[in-house]
Amino acid sequence: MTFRWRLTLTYAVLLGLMLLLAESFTYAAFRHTLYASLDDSLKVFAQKQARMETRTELEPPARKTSALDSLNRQQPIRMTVYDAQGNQVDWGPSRVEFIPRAGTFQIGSERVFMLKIPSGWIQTTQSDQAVTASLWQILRLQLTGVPLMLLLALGIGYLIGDRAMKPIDQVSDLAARIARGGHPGERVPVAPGSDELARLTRTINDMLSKLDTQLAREQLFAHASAHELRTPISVIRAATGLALEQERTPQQYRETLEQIHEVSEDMSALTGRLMTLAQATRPAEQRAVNLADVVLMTTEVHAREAQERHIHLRVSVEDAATSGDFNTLVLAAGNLIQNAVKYSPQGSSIDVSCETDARQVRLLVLDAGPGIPESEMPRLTQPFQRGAQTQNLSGAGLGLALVQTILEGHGGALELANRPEGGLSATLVLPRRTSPG
Amino acid sequence: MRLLLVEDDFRLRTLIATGLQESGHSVEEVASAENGYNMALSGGFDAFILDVMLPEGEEAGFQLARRLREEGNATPILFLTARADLDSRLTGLDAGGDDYLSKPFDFRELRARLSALVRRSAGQPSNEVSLPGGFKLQLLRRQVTDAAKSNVPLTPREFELLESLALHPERAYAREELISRVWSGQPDVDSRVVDVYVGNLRRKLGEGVILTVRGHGYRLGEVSR
Repeated sequence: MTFRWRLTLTYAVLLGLMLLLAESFTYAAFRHTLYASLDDSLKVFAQKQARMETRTELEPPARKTSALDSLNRQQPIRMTVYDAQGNQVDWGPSRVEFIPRAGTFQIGSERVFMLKIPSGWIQTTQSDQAVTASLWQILRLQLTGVPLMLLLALGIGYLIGDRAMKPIDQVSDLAARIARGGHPGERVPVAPGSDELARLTRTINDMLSKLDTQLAREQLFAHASAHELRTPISVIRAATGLALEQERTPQQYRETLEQIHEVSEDMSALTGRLMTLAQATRPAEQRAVNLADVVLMTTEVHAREAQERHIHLRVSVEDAATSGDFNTLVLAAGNLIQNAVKYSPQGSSIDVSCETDARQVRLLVLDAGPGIPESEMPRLTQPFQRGAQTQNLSGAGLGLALVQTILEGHGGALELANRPEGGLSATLVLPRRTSPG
Repeated sequence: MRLLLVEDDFRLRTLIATGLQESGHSVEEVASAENGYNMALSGGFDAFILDVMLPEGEEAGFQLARRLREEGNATPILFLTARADLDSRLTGLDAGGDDYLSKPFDFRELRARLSALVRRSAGQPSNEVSLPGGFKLQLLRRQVTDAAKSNVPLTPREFELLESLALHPERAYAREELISRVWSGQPDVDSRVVDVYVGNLRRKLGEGVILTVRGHGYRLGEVSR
């Protein structure tokens, strides 16, 4: 049984019980009122007669005529006057026997009222058929009304339940579809308002977006890895295939082996870069970081590389507070410096600095290399996510993808520009941390 | 066959060129789309082997193919690329490519595809091209067999020369053209070298296999049906 049916049925059973209780109470009240008014009229009648009996006490019972008698019989209220011994002395005949007690009685279908008077008793009776008929009518109304109301309540209850459950259904349907297809690209329609269901749909959607982004990155990463390995594998396959096609001289075999050895070195370097990239796709830690420290650490790490190529690293820093993971930021900055060292002419300088303004902090690496062709700029600065081109990520490309990924995780961006005076300016832009500590 | 190879990865380019040269093809190698375009203009190629991602850009290979086709160059194009997805293959074929091979590849497949491409573009129905005197030229195995199906030993150059003539039996080749096709990359080849090779082929396959076109060069002899 679905939850909405269980909800509706529970509600219907409770409603039924309450209706039953209310109806029983109404029925009892009606019954009481009807009988009370019947008894009242019997009482009034008897008392009226009693007054008359007192006034005409001494007169003989000569008024008893057959005409009056028959008239009496047609009255809905029958009255009989008894003497003290219980003999009928006036009116009559009674439809019930004499009862030597005052009060109201029910005898068969007759309602009986006995009134003691000095000369004997006055009895008034009336059939309660009209009352039972009314009561029966009420009961019938109730018996047909209650099920109808219950049915209506059931229907409305189901509709309300259905409406309330719809977002939950959508969420579970979506979850089932995602489980089948494995693509968290779809979203639940957000339930209106700010109630629990609206919150549920929003939370689910948020979670799906996060998963989606993460999944897209991992797919992209897997794709990039596979792609990057294609060329070295092609070289190995071509080299070995060729070497094995026919008998070769030892020198030729040696050359093939050397080729494979070189490629395998490239591949292990590539694997290392991919591993770093994989680590960088994880969400960044949020600790207080001063970009000045990042600059100092990075330039220290890469000082030797620069020195070997006779390139001068010029460092200038000021406090630039941001938040994130120190080591990955050092990795990002290090990649920029590595690229700069790689592409700068010998004897030139690389300027590494950081600066801050009201909202952002920046780490700049300026080199005197050839820069990047304008046509390549958009591709290289595209965030590492779905839709981004993943080709040619080797070398600088893969390094920049790594930098992109790290910055994305920090809510920042990588900006590349060719400097008017020549060379490339690569900037890490990060949100400024306002509160100290 | 004379092939143009455009591939920016030095190691892979050298390997492919070496492999194809070993099987008797002559290969011109270049590393960029621009050089590829200039080389293609010089003509005389049986097929182009293009990488897609070149220094000029992500799809420089496709653009090169498009440019060549727009200019009326009908030389068969084989894309040899790491881009293996369906969209890229469709783009490549749409850009004017005739075949698509994704890296990593097998050398035998590359050779077979090239041979099929060249054969198709030359209008040859099968890999077996009939020569005068009942000889058959096996394009894929790069052999010539006689009427009794036994192998006639030819040097790679001899085969290359014969193949050039056999693929286009309707036309005559100048000696210079044959030199650029068969002795590519060797600038100081005397045109009389062609005469020497033709002489060798005539000795092995009979006088009628290659006809001399006076004042011009050579063409394939008439094949009796």
